[in-house]
Amino acid sequence: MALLEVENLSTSFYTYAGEVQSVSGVSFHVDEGEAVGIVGESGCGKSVTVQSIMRLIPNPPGKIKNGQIRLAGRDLVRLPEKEMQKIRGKEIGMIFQDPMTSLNPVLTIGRQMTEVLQHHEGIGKNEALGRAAKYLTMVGISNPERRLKQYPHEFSGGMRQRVMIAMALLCNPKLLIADEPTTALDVTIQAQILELMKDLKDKVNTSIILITHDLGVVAGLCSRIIVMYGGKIVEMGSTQDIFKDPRHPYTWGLLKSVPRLDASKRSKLVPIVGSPPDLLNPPKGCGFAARCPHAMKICETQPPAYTDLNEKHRAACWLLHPDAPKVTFNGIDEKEARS
Amino acid sequence: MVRYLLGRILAAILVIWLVITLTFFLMHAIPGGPFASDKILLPQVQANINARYHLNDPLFKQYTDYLKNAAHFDFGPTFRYQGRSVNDIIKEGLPRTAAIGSMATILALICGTFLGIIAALRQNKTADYVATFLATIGISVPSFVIATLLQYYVGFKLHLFPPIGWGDPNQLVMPVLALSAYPVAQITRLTRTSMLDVLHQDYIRTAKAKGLPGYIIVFRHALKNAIIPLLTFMGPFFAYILCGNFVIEYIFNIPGIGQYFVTSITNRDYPVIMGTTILVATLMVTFNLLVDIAYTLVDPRIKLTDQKGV
Ligand SMILES: Nc1ncnc2c1ncn2[C@@H]1O[C@H](COP(=O)(O)OP(=O)(O)O)[C@@H](O)[C@H]1O
Ligand code: SF4
Ligand SMILES: [Mg+2]
Repeated sequence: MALLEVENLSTSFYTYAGEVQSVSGVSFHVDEGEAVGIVGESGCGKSVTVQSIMRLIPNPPGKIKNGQIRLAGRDLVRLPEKEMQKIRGKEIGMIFQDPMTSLNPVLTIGRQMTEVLQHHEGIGKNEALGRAAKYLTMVGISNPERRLKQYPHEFSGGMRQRVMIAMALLCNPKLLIADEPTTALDVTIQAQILELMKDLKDKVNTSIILITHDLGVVAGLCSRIIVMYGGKIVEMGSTQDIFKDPRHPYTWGLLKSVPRLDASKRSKLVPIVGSPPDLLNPPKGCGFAARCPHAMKICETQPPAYTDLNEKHRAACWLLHPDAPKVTFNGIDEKEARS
Repeated sequence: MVRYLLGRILAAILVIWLVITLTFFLMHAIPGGPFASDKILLPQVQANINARYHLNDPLFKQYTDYLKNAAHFDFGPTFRYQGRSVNDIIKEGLPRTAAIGSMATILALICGTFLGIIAALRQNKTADYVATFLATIGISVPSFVIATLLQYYVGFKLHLFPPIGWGDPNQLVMPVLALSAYPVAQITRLTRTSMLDVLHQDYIRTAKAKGLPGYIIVFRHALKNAIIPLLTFMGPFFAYILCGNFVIEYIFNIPGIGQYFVTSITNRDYPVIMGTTILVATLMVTFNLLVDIAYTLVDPRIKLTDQKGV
């Protein structure tokens, strides 16, 4: 059953230069207990999508222009701020990219953890401290009683991210959103945090949205992958589909530009040339046209519609039109192999 | 921490000793003495007075005698107030100066942070513009102008508060307002800037993502961080309150330390000049130490260690 349904979400920032269409017409869902990954280059609207779900878009300049976000049937877009506060931290927990700056430097870890419980569940300080200690142990922090009395600067980056995870899970939220939780960490710590998240996914029964610009990171954790580009979803499908049968040239580009554990050593990394579209003046046709090695005339003028490839797998590309030339992904694209 | 404090106290004593030495010799370098006046005194009278106050001793002996006495908190008799010591003058004047100063401090801290928070939360809205406008006035108009205007309009014209004097609580209102105008303005500006900066920090987004209500985010999460840069202003702030008080006391005719200090200079009343200067120096050094200790209370990342120097 769908826990979260996002339907036709559009979020824009109104700046002096004009309207930045950060997210336009995004629809997806997350099932109960499911982990979904959102991937895409930096600036393609991943954070804005999840911050819209949390209603954390700074207004002004930002605004959810359109769409519905239903959590267990309730539309969050139209919820009064007071009601939304009861959802944040309680039904949806969130962790952020930079654990070094995401914790308040002048409050103890204990204070920052217990305030969530005291606020949402109205329990006493001692009971809250007990629960906080239990969760710290769960995320692999030893000596929790002593750690609760410490300040963030007494923790390493990886430890702070563990604290963030524990804090986000305190109220047993139905959904955990992790916005690039490992990007700011060094490689060994990244692996540990991912391992922890995998471990927790089986222990606590939450759905997860994991954002990353690294396809390798989602593969181990998520059963489904959403590929975003230029504020839109260009392809989504099961992890299996995205890795074994990707259909969108942007997904191909991503797969080739990301080191993957399951890829053969021979396949070399090819970065996608060019830069993402200007969301201030989004292109009329397909957003990827300027960088796509297979772009056709129609790609420049008309946006491609979604083609459903199976129950879970869909992509928006003119190549999937019955009349289009047959181009397939085989790891090394022929055009590039020649050049 | 204890070692740090001991170091700081030693350094403070050194500073005060320097202040004593400098003022002592500078004062004696000024031509004229405390008893030079329009009336020509009989030579015998002059000699008697000089002997009585040891003004004929060699300068260096006078200096060492002074240091010895000062070490016992004995600042000698005054030259101008018959039969009273400098300590009497301080005991009488300091509570008045302290009353005005501390009230102005409290007012400035409360109003300044309050206005600053409002301005930051209502950035680029009416409340922000009003607060910023008031702050600009408070910063650009000197306190003696504000004092004089208050005295004239509120005191003499409207008769709302007594324009001068001491003794009645009503007489405190205008001096405190005039003295706090500048610090209120500065603290408003600093709080606004620092709040705006803090409100854009990641940990505020985390606090919002935890579902905390606005007042907890502002007062628990933002304010405590926003105060840290403000502490840097506290040293100059106390200096301003102390010295600003001298002017204010003069305008409102309040017999505080400031007034004694100003008249002691025109009187060349050496012991009072020395005594009040040492008092002000001691207060400043103490405040600066308190500010540094306050840092460690607000910001857990700062530890007072010996490396930080004395
Ligand atoms: N506060 C803001 N003001 C203006 N533009 C913004 C703001 N926040 C995000 N954007 C724009 O929205 C787009 C998507 O950003 P984001 O969702 O953060 O990307 P990412 O996929 O890297 O998380 C970017 O082009 C960015 O410039
Ligand atoms: S629609 Fe055209 S430009 Fe866009 S990805 Fe497909 S082929 Fe490339
Ligand atoms: Mg992002």
